[in-house]
Amino acid sequence: MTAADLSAMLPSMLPRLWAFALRISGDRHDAEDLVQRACVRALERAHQLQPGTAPLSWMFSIVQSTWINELRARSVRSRSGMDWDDDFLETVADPAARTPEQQAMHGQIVKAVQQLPEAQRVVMLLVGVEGLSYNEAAEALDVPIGTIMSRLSRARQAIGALFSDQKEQRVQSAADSEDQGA
Amino acid sequence: MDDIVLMAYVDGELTSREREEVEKAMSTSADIAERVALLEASVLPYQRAFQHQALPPVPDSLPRKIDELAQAHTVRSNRSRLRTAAPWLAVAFMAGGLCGGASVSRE
Repeated sequence: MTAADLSAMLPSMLPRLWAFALRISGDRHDAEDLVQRACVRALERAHQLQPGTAPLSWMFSIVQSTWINELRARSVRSRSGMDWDDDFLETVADPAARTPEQQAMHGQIVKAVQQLPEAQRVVMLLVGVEGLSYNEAAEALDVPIGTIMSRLSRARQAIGALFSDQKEQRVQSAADSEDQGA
Repeated sequence: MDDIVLMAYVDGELTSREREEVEKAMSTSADIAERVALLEASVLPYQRAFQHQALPPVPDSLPRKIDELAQAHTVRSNRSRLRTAAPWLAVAFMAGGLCGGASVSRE
């Protein structure tokens, strides 16, 4: 692919790159900077993009590696790391949600994913949210496919633990209210 | 038993024989049954949830900046292409001149 081909594709990819950058950085200014720097890097190496690789997965990989480099540079500069903007954990109303519980669950899912350790969170975002295959995620993060699957499995068990506790609580509170009713 | 196999079990990606093996392991190991239960509880509408994440929209300035970056890149790479092409152009020009000269002198 040429840089010209890539720059023609960038505008349509921008909304997803922006959302991905926000989700991994948790900060609006960082995300803006991140998308710009990733685009510069991508244009410089557009010729490296193989015909079999989806341009969007390739762009995710560049956004991700640019962010990792940034985090490394920051942890050298200061110990404070990053400030997560909690506003990004909010969800807006889903008109198709049938119940308030469903609505609340969306927020809980977003929180559960964002609480994961960095390496697992990125895999969960790429596979669970962006819909990349294990293979594409492995390519994007430049790790073996087995690493993707084991990170995903750990991430899912951690999320599963949060949600199965809730399920038990819901069953319990339902049982309690039945008790009270009886 | 490997977590990856258990995840594939939950996602319905195993053959019937592999499924039987996992189910057998679950019946004898509480730990394996627990891990499968956690993985089952992790089957959630992630895409839908994230679609409704309250993210700020793409900043107005971003598409413009990306466009500027792409244009700056085109200008830079055209310049460097000219730089690498220039010596060859000179050689070609000279060779053309010589050939032209030779054909003229033959006439």
